[in-house]
Amino acid sequence: MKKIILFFLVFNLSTDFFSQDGAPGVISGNIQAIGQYYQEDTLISAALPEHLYGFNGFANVNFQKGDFRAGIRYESYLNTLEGYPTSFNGTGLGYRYMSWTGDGVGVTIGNFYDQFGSGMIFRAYEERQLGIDNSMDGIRLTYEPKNGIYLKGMIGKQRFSFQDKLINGNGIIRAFDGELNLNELLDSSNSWKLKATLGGSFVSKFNTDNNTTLFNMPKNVGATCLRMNLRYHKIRFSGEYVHKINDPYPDQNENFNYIYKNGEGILLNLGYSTKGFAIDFSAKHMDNMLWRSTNVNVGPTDLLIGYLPALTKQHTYNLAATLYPYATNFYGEIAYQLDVLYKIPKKTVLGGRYGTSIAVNFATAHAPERKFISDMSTSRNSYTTSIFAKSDSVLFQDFNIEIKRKINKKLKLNLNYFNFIFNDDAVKVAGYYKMIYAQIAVLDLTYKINRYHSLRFETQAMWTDNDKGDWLFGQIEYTFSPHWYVAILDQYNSGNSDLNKRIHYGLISGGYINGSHRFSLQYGKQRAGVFCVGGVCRTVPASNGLTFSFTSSF
Amino acid sequence: MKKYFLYLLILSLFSCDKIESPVAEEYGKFDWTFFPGDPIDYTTNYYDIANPQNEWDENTNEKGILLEDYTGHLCTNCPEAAQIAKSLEEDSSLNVIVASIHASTDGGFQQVDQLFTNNYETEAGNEYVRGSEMNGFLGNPNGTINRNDGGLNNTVWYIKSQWISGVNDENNIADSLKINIQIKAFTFSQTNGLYIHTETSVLDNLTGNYHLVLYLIRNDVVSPQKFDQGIIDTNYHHHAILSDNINGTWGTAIINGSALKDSIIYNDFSYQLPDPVIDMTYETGNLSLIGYILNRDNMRVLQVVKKEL
Repeated sequence: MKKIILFFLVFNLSTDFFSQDGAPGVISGNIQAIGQYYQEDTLISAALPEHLYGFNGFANVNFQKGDFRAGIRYESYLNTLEGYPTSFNGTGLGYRYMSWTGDGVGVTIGNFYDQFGSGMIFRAYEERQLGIDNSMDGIRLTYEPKNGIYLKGMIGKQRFSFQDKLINGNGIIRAFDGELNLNELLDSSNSWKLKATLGGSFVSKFNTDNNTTLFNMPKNVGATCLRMNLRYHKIRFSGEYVHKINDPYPDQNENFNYIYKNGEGILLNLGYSTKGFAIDFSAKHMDNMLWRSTNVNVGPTDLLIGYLPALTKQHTYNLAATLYPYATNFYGEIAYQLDVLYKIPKKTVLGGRYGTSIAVNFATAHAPERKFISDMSTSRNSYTTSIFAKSDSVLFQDFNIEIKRKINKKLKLNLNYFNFIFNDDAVKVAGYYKMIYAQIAVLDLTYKINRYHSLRFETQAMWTDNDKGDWLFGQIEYTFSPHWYVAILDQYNSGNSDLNKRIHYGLISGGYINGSHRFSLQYGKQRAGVFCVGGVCRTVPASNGLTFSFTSSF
Repeated sequence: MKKYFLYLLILSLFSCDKIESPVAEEYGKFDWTFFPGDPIDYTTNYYDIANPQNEWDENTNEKGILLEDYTGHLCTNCPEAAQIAKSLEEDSSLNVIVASIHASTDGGFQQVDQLFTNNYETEAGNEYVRGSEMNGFLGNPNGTINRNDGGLNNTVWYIKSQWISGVNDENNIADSLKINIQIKAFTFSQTNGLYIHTETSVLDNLTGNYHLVLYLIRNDVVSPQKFDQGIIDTNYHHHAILSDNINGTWGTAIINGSALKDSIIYNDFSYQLPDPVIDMTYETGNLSLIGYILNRDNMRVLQVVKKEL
């Protein structure tokens, strides 16, 4: 606590040093806290830690005066919520930084998040729900020598864990990025209909963590990336290529254990949008692009330098989002995604009085076609691949349709259909380790009783002959605007082949919202599942108990 | 500012290690050229490598304590430390095995000249004190006790006044032996060849990374040693000098992940000894092997044995 007080005291006492305008600095911040009291529930094998109560909380406090900014994040995991990575533990400062800008130059010292392009080559980010925080701890310089030219360089270590304080990994990351906005750079091109941005990055890491005597480990590993973004009228295109040199990791699969093959990734996106219609196509070739700042075994989301985007739609409905969500395959994948959005105009036969929105999404991911070569006693490339050459082995397929329609002034309808093919032998998320074929239907109705009161009804059903069989889900939510809401839901594993496991997971929740403050309570059973964001997942254990959460900002 | 970016760019561009030969050289790789005869005769008369299970009796080795004495022939406080180490080794109830390792972070106490003609440093010894894996080395004399972290500031490093209590503490730990080793060795004077065979018995389920490390030890070497007040004993008996690591600084990985109780691991090594005609201290009768099992995840030595050649 002394450190925190000192931190802000220094800035307040010395503000004139950073700013000549005499204006007072601004302090802003936010807090989020979640606590759960665990109850025994042997029926669902609910988590029951000996401390009985788990708590995750953090608060950001930022100070800004002119071009100067500074901030901290105080974090508390007392004890860490079940299912959350145990590498988050204790209470203390987990993030602190200072930054200032001027004359085209920007400086950040301490912790910072950043991303080059899509993030394949470098992404320092935080996804608190997943327990991911690989913030950099070091120095970052940005420089804009000329309008349209953006340069960025940084060096630092990555956050590895939190044990009453920030714990960094041993590896050092050196990164450089340059971006050219042609339209800003060339005055004459400002009138061009073509908007173009080119970028390039180089990122290297240094670590000596892996001291195996079996292999000659590279201590310095570099990756290069080129990218471009083009836009012409309503058409846009983006492309990115990343290449990484030998970067061996231990792996339980012999074919990927300490292999020295170069990694590469290609991400392409082509889109067109106009009023009432949009189409978007993405393609991804990814091979051997696991990219961490350490070369020893760590947790799946620890010390990742690069982010491997999943080409799938992020679902929000419970069954679709948490039973078979796709996790990016670190070995490699060939993936495609097509998104089509169309709004049937209002006041037509099909569109109805208010119009109808239809969204169709198709995503598929396959393992690359690999030709294994017998070189594990020599060059250890293990296999060869070709660009966008996919094998027959489907990792994931998702076809889904969403129809949204406002029936009348009081009633809104949202219909969804999902069709999944899920290779759990490769993805290993569900714990079934075989192919899973599942279909889900969702009906979501919102009825606006009056200006302040509304009722939402949601029902979902999943049909599958695999894994735990069929599921049913129902929820009713009542909102008293602007402050209160209450909801009750039930999930039922109706198709479980083990009759004793056809369990109801009932949950009741309520909340109070007042401006930027939100407080909620929920009580009941939560089934085990998987929570994923952007292809990165964490498993959530079954639990039973009382949960409260509080968020606020100022 | 441009200058800084140039620095960063240059730093980045040169920050890659392209590895052409990923597979590391195998230290102690079995080499039949050190055997003066047909390898089939070795199987018949010495050790059947293809069927090692027939070669070993029950392992009755008791838990040992490896006391590494990091020393130097110009270190005036080191003889006293060596005496403590030797007295601990002579107490048979403790089962201490001493390895005197001539090493320092900056070459201090190890220099050679017309009087101190022998350089006893080894690559492994220097790595132990200079590398990042056994942090905290303060200078000679210093020691490790089964490389446990009970030394100064919870490091592996014990100052000499802590050695007796440290060894006793280690001896009093009630832990049962989780892994045990036996060593067989055969030497051939015609080629100065040394063949080593080990049997490692896993006595409890283990997870992690465990290495077998083999030291070549010269039992007794007479050469000058500096004492207090500039006194030099030119007939000083240096005891148990680490002379080489047979299978590399960190040895051979024998368990990588997990090993089940009652599993047995066999390893074979070959090594060419320095010619005793050139250096008499390498006479077979003056040589020993120290073999120990190292937990590479925490540096702890789980078992150590000594084999006279």
